[in-house]
Amino acid sequence: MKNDYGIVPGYEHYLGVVDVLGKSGHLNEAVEFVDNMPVEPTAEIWEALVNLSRLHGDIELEDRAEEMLASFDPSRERVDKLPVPLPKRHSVPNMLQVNNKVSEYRCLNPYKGNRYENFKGLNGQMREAGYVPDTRYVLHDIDQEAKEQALMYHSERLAIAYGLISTPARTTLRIIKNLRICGDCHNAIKIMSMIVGRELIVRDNKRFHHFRDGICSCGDYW
Amino acid sequence: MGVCSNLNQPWNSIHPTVTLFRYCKTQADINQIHARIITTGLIRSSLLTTKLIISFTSSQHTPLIKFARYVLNYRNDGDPFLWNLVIKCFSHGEEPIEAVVLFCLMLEKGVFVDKFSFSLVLKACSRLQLVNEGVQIHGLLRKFEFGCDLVLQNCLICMYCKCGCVELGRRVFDEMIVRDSVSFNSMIDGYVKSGKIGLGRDLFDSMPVELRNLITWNCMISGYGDRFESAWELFREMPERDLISWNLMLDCCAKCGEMEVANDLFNKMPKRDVISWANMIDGYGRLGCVDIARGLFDDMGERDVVSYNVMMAGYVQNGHCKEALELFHVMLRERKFYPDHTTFVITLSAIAQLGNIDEGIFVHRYLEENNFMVEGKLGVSLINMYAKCGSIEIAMHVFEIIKEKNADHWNAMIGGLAVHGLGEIAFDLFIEMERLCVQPDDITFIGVLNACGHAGMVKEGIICFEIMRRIHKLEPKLQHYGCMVDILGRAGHIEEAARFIQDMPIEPNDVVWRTLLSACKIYENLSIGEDVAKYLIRRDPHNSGSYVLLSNIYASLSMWDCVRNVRTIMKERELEKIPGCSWIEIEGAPHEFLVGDRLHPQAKEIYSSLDMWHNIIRDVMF
Repeated sequence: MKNDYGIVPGYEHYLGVVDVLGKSGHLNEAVEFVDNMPVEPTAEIWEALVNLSRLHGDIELEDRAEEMLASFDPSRERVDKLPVPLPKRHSVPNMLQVNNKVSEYRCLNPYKGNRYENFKGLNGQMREAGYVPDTRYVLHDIDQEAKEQALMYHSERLAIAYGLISTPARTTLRIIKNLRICGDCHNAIKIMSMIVGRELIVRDNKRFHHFRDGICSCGDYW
Repeated sequence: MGVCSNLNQPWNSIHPTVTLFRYCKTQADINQIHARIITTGLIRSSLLTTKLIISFTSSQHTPLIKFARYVLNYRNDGDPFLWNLVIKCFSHGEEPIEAVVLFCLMLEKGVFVDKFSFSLVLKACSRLQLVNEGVQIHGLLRKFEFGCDLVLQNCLICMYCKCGCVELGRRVFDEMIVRDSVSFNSMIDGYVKSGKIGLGRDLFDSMPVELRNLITWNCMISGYGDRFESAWELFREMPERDLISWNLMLDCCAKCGEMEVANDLFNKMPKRDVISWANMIDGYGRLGCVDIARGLFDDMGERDVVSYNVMMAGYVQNGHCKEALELFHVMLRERKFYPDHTTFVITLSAIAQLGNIDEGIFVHRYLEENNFMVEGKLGVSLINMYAKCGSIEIAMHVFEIIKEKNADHWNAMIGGLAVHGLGEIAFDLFIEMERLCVQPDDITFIGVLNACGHAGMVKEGIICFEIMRRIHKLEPKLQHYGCMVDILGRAGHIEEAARFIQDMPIEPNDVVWRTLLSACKIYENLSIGEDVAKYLIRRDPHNSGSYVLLSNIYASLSMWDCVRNVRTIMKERELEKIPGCSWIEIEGAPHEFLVGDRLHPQAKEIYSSLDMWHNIIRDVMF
């Protein structure tokens, strides 16, 4: 990039290369690239390698990446290994944070306001929904916090998140997934459908799931 | 067209009317002629009606032919020539049944029936596959002492073969004292079309060489459509070839994957047509060489709808559904020719695989605006498309408005309901199908069993399986057994599912075993799952699915050492787990995400959004 286009690569470029190599299955090449980077790899890069190694089932690389992640970025170690209970929030600080969130997201995503308003009206329903991350579906030997983190970014959730920020309110979203949807994503998407008031249709490799008002057409049997 | 009196002719003269016959094309034109001959009384004129019938039966316009038939009723002289003219129009036209009706009217009115009449009505019976009527006509012509007429015997052979009764055709053939090329060709064609290629070849070999003609050779080659060596042998032995011969050989090469030979033939062909190009495109498409196929398509001087269809089909068969859809839109934009039913079937299949509901709705609207009937395959494709695009309600609507449903429509609907988890509705539909005496087939039961499996309807699934065997006498295939294993496994009846497999009368394949393994994974059944997984790995050491499922069973039981062992073996054997991938289409553009994906241009916003959602949920919960 520098020689041909006069662009000095930043960390995001290095991260992009790692992502591309890793997703196409070239984990060794990705590791080699990281090892030969002219700058010190950041925590994001090692985190990407952790995800990619889990994706492709490379346990050795996963262990190494986690170790490097902890050593290069001590703050990650605290998050992963020393979970701190969330402080109890008071009404005034919560309102301030909510306002900040609304302000922040309204600038980025024009449709967020409608969704958030829907959410406020569904507070009671959310409490009744009973969602908690079901880490049974994380089939890795990692601690509880890491398992919860691993569940958050499954491909169907990313697709839905993108759909929510890219389409008007009440638009039906249709997602196709190549594998069987896991139980935790199934539960989470049910609650999301209730919050946003949209029908979320997921077609996995077995069947269709129509999520609407917190209920799925499969009756939680798939 | 204006009809008026000519002052130089008497008011009831036929001349002004006759001179205008050649200008008639539409119903409006006919109405004027009709009015004139009624008011002038010329409807009773034998001379005028003869000229009218002769003129109109030589036309290609349907209203004129129907009017000729109408005028025939006014004649009392029973001229068989005129009757035959009208019958011929129908037997060769769009409504061959009318030829049968007219033949009956001839008999009823006592009009003399000659051998031409018989030949024409037999052709109509052939086209309509009316074997019962054909048999009656066969008996009648014997009574008329036409039983030994060569032309009529040939017609009988053709009729019986077209109706699927090649044995009866062979009896006629064997009784013939004199046979000609048409006799042999019709019989060989009958054998070829009914799949009895060996009998066809025997007849071909016994045929006098002097009677063989191009039709004979072409017919035989077409019968070897999936046997390259046999077709090639015949092709090389042909004393002469025509364009059809070359195209048939190309078609055989395409079906058999012999595209190098096809390419050589294509380059040597003295003349090519759109069929030649279509065969080449089809052949390369079948081999997965869509780029070569597309190159040929682009090189075509003149294209037709068939060439578009084969190119689109090649794209769809190789997973290039988006390209198929693009080609469909090119066809619409160019407007050189219009899509036919096959085009829409292919297009809807592509849309179904893409899951693009907006495109599906566009196509459906196009069909409605252009008066395409959704009966038949189009209806099946529409139902299937809507079901696979997630709109089961619209699929149900399409199904309901189809007036004449066949088994395929029911199958598509039941299958769609199955993957949408609407097992009870699917089961009810199956019962309705039974009530209406629509004969179910293998696919019907695969759909119903799948529906039962997805809905946890174990009892109903067993009932359907037994109905299939005992009532409909359908021998269960591997897929049916696999469905039963799935029904039992999903419901947690692991031991019963394993026992079911052991009792299967046919050898279970990997799919059946993997179905059981998946159930073991869901219900964390290690004792059965471990054995099944190891068995599958021994059978196919390179299928990563078995390893992943076994690893997941170990992981669900926190047997981490076993997990590591399996993953290590996978790595040693260079096997990779298929990563989770999801697609969503926004404003016509598909967006793909892998687990933990950060490559999307809006990755930051996406992750922020997800984090926000998770925080909202956590805040609410805690």
